[in-house]
Parts: sequence; C-alpha cells; structure tokens
Amino acid sequence: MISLIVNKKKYEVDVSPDTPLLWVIRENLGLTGTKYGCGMAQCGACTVHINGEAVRSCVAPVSRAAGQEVTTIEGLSPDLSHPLQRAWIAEDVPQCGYCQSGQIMAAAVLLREKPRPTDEDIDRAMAGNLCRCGTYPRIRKAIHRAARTMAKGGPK
Amino acid sequence: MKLIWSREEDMQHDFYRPTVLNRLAAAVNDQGFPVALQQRVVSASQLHHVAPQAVKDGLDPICLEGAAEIPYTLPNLFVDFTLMQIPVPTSVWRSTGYGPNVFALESFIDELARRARRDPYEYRRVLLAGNKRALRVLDLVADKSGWKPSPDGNRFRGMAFAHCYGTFVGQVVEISVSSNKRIKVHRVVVALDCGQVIHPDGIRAQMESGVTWGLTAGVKSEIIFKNGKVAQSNFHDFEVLRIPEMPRVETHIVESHEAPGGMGEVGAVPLVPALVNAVFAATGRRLRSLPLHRHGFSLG
Repeated sequence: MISLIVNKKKYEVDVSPDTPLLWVIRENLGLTGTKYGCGMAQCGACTVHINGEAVRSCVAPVSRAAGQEVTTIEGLSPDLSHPLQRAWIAEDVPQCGYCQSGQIMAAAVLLREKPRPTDEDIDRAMAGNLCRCGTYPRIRKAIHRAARTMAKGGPK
Repeated sequence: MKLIWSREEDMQHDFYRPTVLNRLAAAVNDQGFPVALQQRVVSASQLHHVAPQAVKDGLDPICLEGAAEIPYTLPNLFVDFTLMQIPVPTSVWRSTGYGPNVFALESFIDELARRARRDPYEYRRVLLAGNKRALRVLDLVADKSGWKPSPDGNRFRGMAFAHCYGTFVGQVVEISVSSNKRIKVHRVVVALDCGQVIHPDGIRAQMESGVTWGLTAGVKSEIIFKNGKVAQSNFHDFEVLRIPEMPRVETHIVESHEAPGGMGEVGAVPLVPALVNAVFAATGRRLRSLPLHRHGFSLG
C-alpha cells in the first residue's frame, strides 16, 4: 500500500510503486482532470504539483509522491476561484480543452516564482506545454491577467 | 470499459494527410499578367476513407479545392488531376485540398509578380479586378499590415490570398531570418470576409489556431514511412508548435451579411504560402516543398 496526500485528502492505494502517478490519479482516485498526452514528458498535459513544483505525472512513479503533497487541477481552488481559472474563463482560452489543466498547473508555478512575468518569462516557463489548438496567444493574455489580479490581492 | 490508445499507437496507425504534387505553368502578356494558367495536381485520396461514394471516375473532388476554382479572373485556366494510388490510408486534414493547392498557387502568383517586377499586392489587385468582396479583404490586409515587402532592412513580409470554404481570407506574415536559417515570425495580420458573422471571438480563436497549425505543418512536422511503417512515434520526433514560436495574430473581420462561410480550416490556408513568400523576400530562396525544416529552416 502507498500513502498519498492529494488535494489535501489522504488515500491508500494498492499499486506497484513504479506505476506512473498519472494513472493512479486518474484510475485509482478518479481525478480525471489530469490528462494523458504522450507518456514521455513531451507535452505537459499531465502536469501536477508535488510539494508545489510542476511534475510530469506520466513519467513520475507513484513512489515519488508517497507522503508528499500532491495537487491536481481539481485541488487548485475549491470553487474555480483561483486567479488563473478566472483569467482562463475571462480570456476564453480553451478550444478542445485537453491540454488546459496542464497549462494552468504550469502557469501556477510560474506566477509563484514570478508574480509579474514578461512574455519572455511566460514563453520560457510554458514551452513544455503543447497546445494543438493553438491557444498560445490567449494563454499569454490569461497569465498576465491573473498576475494583475493577484497583484491587487484579488480572489485567492 | 475505456480503451486509450498510446500516443505511439495513435501516431503510427492513423489516416494521414495526402501527399500532393502541384506543377504550375503560365503564359504571360507583355505586362507580366497570365493569359493562361495550368495547374496539374497529383494527390492521394482525401475522401476514399470517409466518403468513398464521392470518389468517381478517378476524381476526388476535395483534392481539387483551391485549384478548380480560384479567386482570380483569368482568360484561360487548365486544371489537370491524377489520383495517386498508395497503400497508406489518407484522409482530410486541416486544411483539406486548399492547404496544398493554395500553397502552390499563391507561391506561384508571388513568383509571377516578381518576374513582372510588380508588387505582389498590386499584382493580386489586378487579377482580382471586379471581385468586390475579394478586393475589400485584400485591401484590408494590406492596410492593416502597412503592406511593404520589407518594412526595414531586417523584417520581411509575405502575402497570400484565398477564397476557401465560402470565406475570403488574406494574410500577411512578418518575419526575420537569422544567418543560421532560424525564422522568427513576429506577426500575422489576417483580414477576412466570412459573410454573416456568428461569433467574432470564435473567428479570432480559429485564426490563431490556423496560424498555429500552418506554422507546424509548414515548418516542423511530417510523417515518413520507412520499411512499411511510420518512423515517427511521439512529440519528440513529430514536433508541433510551442509557445515561444507563436507570433502575434491580428484578425480583422469585414462586416458582411452574405451567406456564412466556414472558419475552422480557413486560417491555415494562406499562412503557409504567405510564410514561404516572406522567406523569399528575406533570403531570395524560393522554397517549393514542405515542411521547411527539410531546407534547413527552423522557427526561433
């Protein structure tokens, strides 16, 4: 049995320690907001946080997360009120939506590190997250918008 | 029960974009304008796997999109088609027949304009004479982009125009090219008349999307068959556009109450020839095959 803390909730899962964290999150815990895109850390669709750092859960063995704080898109805020989620809605970012959980989770780490990022900062931080629909211009806009909201102390 | 294909299974067992070869020839008058144009299209099937009943007598109508009917008024137009039989399953892919055929035609128009020592925008204006909706879109994209083939010594522009899916669309792509053939796409200006506008922000989103798709297909990604199987397997060897490569996209929509045209595929159609025409403006090299990474170019 492996003990996990996901979105502040404790779980015990009976899986092999080398199972990718992604599949434990999706199949054992039923948290399907985190997506499978490539299985080799090339696309970023599976991005979650372990102790606040962005991790590609498709290549991270579940053993790496044992006893650590895991956050998925479902745990970013209890009520869709995170400034990034609000900004994503305001800028109408998603098209098909498949990559967007990973985009938002990557952006959350960026904003913690750089509360007022430039376009270059955004490009550097988000280069590992593919979007086949091409929502990139709106991702840049939404991150700037969320940064402004957070600077004003807006909704947490 | 839910079955998810792995990325590798999906990439290696798909229906692929048809291989297409275009050959164009023109006879020009003493002003350098075509009095006759010939476009020969050889393509694998677009429709065989999705609507086989539409393919009759060796004619796959979608393969001729952008060639059989063009927006320019020419006294003589000859279009020839050969349906290529290949064992690879092929089907429609953004942007169906318009993608490859408009790439060929709009590159060729750019070559004709330069041969005639005329500005590619002015040259297209003459060929579109009498087509009010088309001219309005072409003029709008020239105006909003501040059209010049080279606004200064470092930046270069290419233009392309199309009438596709019931929509008139013009694009200007602005680039700079480094000495190691890295193309920086700074800006894409789009003007369009899609008839009655239903959802303006949806149109802008589709233009951003089409630019992304066009840059990916035009420069980066390709599927190659080696020894009977697909050589690529995942996003490390089938590369798609990443955010640092994404230009600014400015979309200008003509207010219109004509019948609504399509939007989903339109954005990618003029992007590739406009890009290739910009690369010609920057380097003097006319690139006639895609993707451009085969010619040593990359996006930066």
